[in-house]
Amino acid sequence: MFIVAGALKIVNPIGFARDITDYDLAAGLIVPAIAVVLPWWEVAAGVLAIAGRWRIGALTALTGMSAAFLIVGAITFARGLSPECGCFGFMSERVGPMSLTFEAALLLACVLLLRKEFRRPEEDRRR
Amino acid sequence: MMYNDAARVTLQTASLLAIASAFALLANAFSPVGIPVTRALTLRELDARYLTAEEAHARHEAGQSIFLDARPEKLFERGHIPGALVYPADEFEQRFLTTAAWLPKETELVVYCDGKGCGLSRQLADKLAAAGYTRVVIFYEGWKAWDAHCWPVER
Repeated sequence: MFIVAGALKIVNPIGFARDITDYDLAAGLIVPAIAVVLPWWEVAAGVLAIAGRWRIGALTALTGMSAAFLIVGAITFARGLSPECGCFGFMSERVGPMSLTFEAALLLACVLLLRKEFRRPEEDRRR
Repeated sequence: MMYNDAARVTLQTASLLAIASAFALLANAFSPVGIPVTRALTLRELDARYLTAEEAHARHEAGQSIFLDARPEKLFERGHIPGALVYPADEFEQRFLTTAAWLPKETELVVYCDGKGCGLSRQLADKLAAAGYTRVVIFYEGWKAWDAHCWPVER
C-alpha cells in the first residue's frame, strides 16, 4: 500500500506539493522538499518491509509515517479544513472521518506488524 | 538486549531515510517532472489555474468573468463575492443541469471556496473542465482572503 501511494506521488511531485500546501501546516519553503522526499521514504520502507531486509527499521519508518499522517489529518480536520488528503495521488479523497479512519487502521496495522517483528527471535531480527 | 534493539532500530531507520532521501533528490534532479526543492513554489507553479487575491479582484472589477462559489449553499448565504453563483462542488451534477444551457463553454469561470485547504474549488474546477469549460481558473485564497481585504461582499 505504501509502495503504491509513494509511486503515485513520485510521478506527480507538483500534485503532492499542492496537496501539502492545502494542509496549510508546512512553511512554503519546505513543501517541495517534503513532496520530493516523503514518497521515496514510503516506497523504500515498503519495499524493505516486504523484502525482509532492515525490516525492523522499515516498519519503524512506516509506523512513524502513519502516525504523522494521522496527526496531520486530525489537526487539519479539527481546523475545519478539508483538502484532498494526498494519500494516494490523484485517487485521494478529502480529509474527513473516512480518511482518518483509514489512516488509523493503517497505523494500527503498522504497530501490530512492528510488535510482531520485535517478538521474533533475535537472530532472525538481525537481518 | 534492549540497548541493541534500540540501536539497531535507530540505525536501520536513519540509514533507510537518509539513503531514500539522497535517492529522491537525485531522481528529482534528473526527472522530467522534477520540482525545485530549494525555494517555495509559486501559486502558478503549484497549479497554472491558480489566481492570487489581487488577480481575482481585478477580474471581478473587469466584469468579464463569472464567479462560482463552490462552498455549500448555507456558507454562500452568509456572505459571498458580489455576483457569484452558488455552485457547490458536491452538487455539481444538479447545478450543471441548470446552468449548462446558458453558460457558454468559453466563458471564463473563476471558482473559489473558503481558501487554502478548502479543496472544493479545485474539485469544482476539475469537474467543469471535464464538462468542457475551457477557461476555468481558481481563486486559491478564496472567500477568506476576499473578506480580509474588505472588498465588497453580498450577504
